[in-house]
Amino acid sequence: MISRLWLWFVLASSIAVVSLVVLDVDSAIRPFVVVAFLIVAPGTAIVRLLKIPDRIAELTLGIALSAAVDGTVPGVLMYAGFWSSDLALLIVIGITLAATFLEARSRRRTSA
Amino acid sequence: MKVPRRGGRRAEGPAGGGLSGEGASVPPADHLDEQISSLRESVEVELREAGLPRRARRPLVQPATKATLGSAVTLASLLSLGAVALWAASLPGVDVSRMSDIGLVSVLPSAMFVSIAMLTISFCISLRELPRGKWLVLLNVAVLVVIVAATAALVEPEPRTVAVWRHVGVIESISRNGQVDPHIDAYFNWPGFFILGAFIGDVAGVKSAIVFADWAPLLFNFLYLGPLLMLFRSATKDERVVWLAIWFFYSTNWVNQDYFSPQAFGFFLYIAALAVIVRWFSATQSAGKPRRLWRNRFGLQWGRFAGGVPVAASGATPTSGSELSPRQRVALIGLTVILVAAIVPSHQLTPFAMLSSLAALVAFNRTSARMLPVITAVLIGTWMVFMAASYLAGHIDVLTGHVGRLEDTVQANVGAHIGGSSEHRLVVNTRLALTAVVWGLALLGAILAFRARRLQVTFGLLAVAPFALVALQPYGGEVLLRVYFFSLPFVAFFAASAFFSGRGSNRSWPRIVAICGASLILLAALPLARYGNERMDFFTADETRAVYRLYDVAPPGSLLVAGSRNVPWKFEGYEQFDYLVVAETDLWARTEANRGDIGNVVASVESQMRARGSGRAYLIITRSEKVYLDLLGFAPRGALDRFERAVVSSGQFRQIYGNRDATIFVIARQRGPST
Repeated sequence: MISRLWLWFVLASSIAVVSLVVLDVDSAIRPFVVVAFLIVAPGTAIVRLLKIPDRIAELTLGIALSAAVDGTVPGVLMYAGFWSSDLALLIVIGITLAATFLEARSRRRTSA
Repeated sequence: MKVPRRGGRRAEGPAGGGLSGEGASVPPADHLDEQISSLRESVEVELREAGLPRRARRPLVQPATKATLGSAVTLASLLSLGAVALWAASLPGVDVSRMSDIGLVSVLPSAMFVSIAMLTISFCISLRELPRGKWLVLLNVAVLVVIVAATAALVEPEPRTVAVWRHVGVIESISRNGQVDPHIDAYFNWPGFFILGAFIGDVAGVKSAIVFADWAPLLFNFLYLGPLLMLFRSATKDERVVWLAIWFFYSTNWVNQDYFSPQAFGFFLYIAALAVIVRWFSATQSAGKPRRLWRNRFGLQWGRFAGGVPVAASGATPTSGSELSPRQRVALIGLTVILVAAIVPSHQLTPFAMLSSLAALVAFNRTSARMLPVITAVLIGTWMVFMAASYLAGHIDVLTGHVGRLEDTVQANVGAHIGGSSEHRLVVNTRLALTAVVWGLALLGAILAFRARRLQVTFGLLAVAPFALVALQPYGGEVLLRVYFFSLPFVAFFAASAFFSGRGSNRSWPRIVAICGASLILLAALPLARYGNERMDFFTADETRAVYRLYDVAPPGSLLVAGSRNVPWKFEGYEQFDYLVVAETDLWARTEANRGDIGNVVASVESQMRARGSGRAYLIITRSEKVYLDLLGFAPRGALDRFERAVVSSGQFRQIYGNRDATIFVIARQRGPST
């Protein structure tokens, strides 16, 4: 149940973030949605693949890993001479979605 | 299903690393109540692990004294709510413009201190009632974090501390240029945090990181909570020790290193990485039984003291390294390497603290992740050689010149800070006293744990390992602050354990009263220690308005001159301007030392500004520049006022902007020869 909720949360928040950024929405809500997504989603999606049986550890490491991913992806792009915050965001979202779908597939196999 | 055995003198057993010895003299009612609660929690955890449905996980045993517990929790809840209400109501009464040299404390209303006291009492009651009312303990910690980290942001008109404005400027520069120029300064050689800030700022659509910079302490302190919980729960399953250690961490974190900075960011990743290592890669976990160090030499079995078998807290699912699959272990090591790899380009010092801590754990056989120090060293070396080479080339003497010179470090970190006004010396002494108290408590806790054969050697190493940084360099007179910060989680843990060692129930009122007393003392000192420099750290709206005006009128390439370094500038066009700080020139130092003529300094500044050309040099003097020199004693009191008067009376400068707290001058046009 939580897994399905997480899947929908990632999908919905990814769409929301991409929409806000691509459409360059100038709204007070944009920083909160984007920052909340970047702080939680990328790392948590990856950490959930590990199936750590402790929610606090999962969230803690998820946030820490999110910070690392959010810093590393744009950093690599910058040093490679391809700096673009939009491109970095798409890569981060791609990583998040890939990890989430991998987890969903893994859980489906386990339950089957 | 295996239910942990309880009771007896060592109810929680050495395996748990529990620090709550429960002796035979325990009052029967308390003892029984605690046992029942713990047993109930253990059974629930076992049921959860067994995958039984939620219905089957109803409490099997109801506490005997539910009504009593309920009233205590209700009282604590009311105290918490009252504390929040009182704190919020007292905020509008804070007038920061009337602050004295003891900082924020001088303008905080007494209601603020009453609210902190109420919160502390509530926390202590809720701590006693654990595991009941866990949410209340968490709520109290959250409120403490808000009071400690957000009060200044709420009562001050502008983001505090000059470094925050500078960091915002680095982010603005990187975002604007889309590249990192390592030749600018050290920030651009360790730009990880700033690149992250530029990325988030861009996609969040904020015009400047200054918008959210003032709330960074609140965010970072909440982020620290997760790793702290992981760390402490890996060391003991006594939730009282866990939460008291967290409470002490926030009550004694006076070093102000949680502002919008690479240090605060690096510290979060540092404790997160250590949480993974301590929780899942303790050497004893992989070996299956405790390793014994130095047994023959000291006749002691150190491994037994280390709480080597991982026991998660009651309520959390016990997870150990040996219970993880090889795939999970490899993945967690990979995750840790990613965290370390994110630390390395973000901050100069934190990677070395990481290296020191990991090396200590490996050297003393406390972790099975033996390659991590090597990987960390390779990452640090690679970054320094390939990415920070341009900075190193020009600063190799600065970086290596102090290695092993402890006297320099101590003088720069302690001696140089004991000065300034008498009120400032009170602040410094309070900081030293607070540090002595928390380290003293930690030492007491470690000794008591050692005597009870429950010493957490791993935590002892992690508390001591950061001191290796002292041997490297003074770090601008701040390395001891950083060492304090890096070791604080583990020091706080030992300090908390001091209150739960020995015989007697952990719920006994004398014990709770002692905890409350210690907490009140620490929290009474914290505002003075943490916000003691606030008179210089805060900026008025007039000051920032003047600096914004400065950047409006000064074209790129201009020379910007300030009396002292404490100006909220460099937040835009970081690399586009040249900066000069009058109080850091040799002439100023000589003049002040010999009580010379300040006119010589004015003439020197004038010639440098005139050489830059008309309209391309600006002198700004602000309130906080003056306070900086006066408060810290870097110049005789009023020195910058005298300089400003000399500037005005020289006739060589023209004021182009002025308000109550700031003035901007340019060079006056020289009159041509009279005909």
